[in-house]
Formats: sequence, C-alpha cells, structure tokens
Amino acid sequence: MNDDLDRALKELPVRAVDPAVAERVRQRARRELALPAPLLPLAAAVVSLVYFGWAVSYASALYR
Amino acid sequence: MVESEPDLLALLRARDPRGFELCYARHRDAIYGFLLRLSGQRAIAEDLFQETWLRLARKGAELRPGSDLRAWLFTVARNAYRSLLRSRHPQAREEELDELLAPGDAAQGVELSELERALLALPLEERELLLLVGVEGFAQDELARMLGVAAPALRQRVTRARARLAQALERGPASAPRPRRIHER
Repeated sequence: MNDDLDRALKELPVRAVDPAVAERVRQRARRELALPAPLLPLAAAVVSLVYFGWAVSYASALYR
Repeated sequence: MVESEPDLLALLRARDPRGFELCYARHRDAIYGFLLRLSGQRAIAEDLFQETWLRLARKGAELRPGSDLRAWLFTVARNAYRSLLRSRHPQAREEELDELLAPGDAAQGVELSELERALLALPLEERELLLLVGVEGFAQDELARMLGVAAPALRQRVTRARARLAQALERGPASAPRPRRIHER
C-alpha cells in the first residue's frame, strides 16, 4: 500500500461543524434526553403521524 | 471525570446528560467531517449530523455494555446517508444513488484539496471505506464487523479503493470522473 496516500488521508484537516449548528443539535438532543423514557415511544408516534400527514398532503399536492 | 468507554456507556444507558455531552464533545467533529466528505454537501451533512446525534439521545439507553460507541455512531451516520439517497431515488440502482444526489452547480462551494476532490469522485462504497479506514483510523477487522462483511473481502475492497484513489491522484484532477466541491448551502 502507498504509505504517502495513507499519511495524506490521516492528515486531512478536521472539518469542524458550525458552532451554531453544533449548539442547536446539542440543545435538541438535551431536550430528547429530558423526556421521560416511557414518553419516547409516544413522542415518536406523534412525530411519525405528523410526518405521515405531511407526506400524504405533499404527495397529493404533487399529483393534483 | 469519565474517561473510559464503559463509564461513558453507563452514563448513556442511564440517560444521564453527561454521557451525551462527553460523547458529543469527543466525536462530533469527526462525525460531521465524515458526513461532509461522504455527501459533499454541507446542508445534507448538517441534517444527517443532527439525525445521528438525536438517535444517540433516543437510543443511547439501549446500547449494550461493551458496545463500541464510536463504531455505532459512524454506522448510524453512514446508514443515515444511505437512507437519504434511497428515499430520494427509490428506483435507482445502488451504484447510481450517489451520482443522483451530486449537485451540478458548485458556485457556492468551498475549495477542496486535491485529495478530497479525488475522494468525492470515487464510488460511494469506496469513499466510505477510505474515509473510515484512512481518515478515521478504523482497523479493517473492526470495520468488517461494523459493515457485516468478511474481513478478507473487506481488505480486498479497501485495497481496490486505495488503488483507485491513487490512480485518480496520479492522473490529476482533470481526469476525475465526477469532480465536486463541498457545497456551503
């Protein structure tokens, strides 16, 4: 194997996430963690329902 | 002070926010960089970055003791990218997916190094392997377990991907089949 290539891959600079994005994601994750565990499946079901409703209305708008 | 992986896993399993914070601080830039170099698009990388970390927040408590957290995170990120490609192009063949997502206009792109351009020009599977082995430093046996493939087969694929990358670099950027840049937005 090409050692130079290995080294070049290893030395690719870090691509840091935008601090504002990092903070937003952190806050959202912390809110998820704050949900009591039994509520998680319920919250997931609600989100799925909302998403499904949106997908159906979007698809029907597309084919209208 | 939590230093060891078992301690970190114990915190995550207990839904202790400190577990998430520590894990986030350790791995967030690596996960973002992986997604950015995998997709070549900043907006997609940011969306999938969020998806990956929200999944940890939701599923961290289900991780088994002894789980490889870093491998788990990269697997989630990789699967999120593949799911996105598949959701956008359900009829496309596997090898076409990546190409279909590639943006055409690079006007707002960030300049990439020659090596990054060459990586983006590789087929998705080869790019994944080189990012995980070459950039992130996963051992090939570890990666074989992660991807659920036999170690000899994986070693062969990595060798082939490296050879293709080396060829692309030797020929220079003009010969890259799909030159792309990372898009800001």
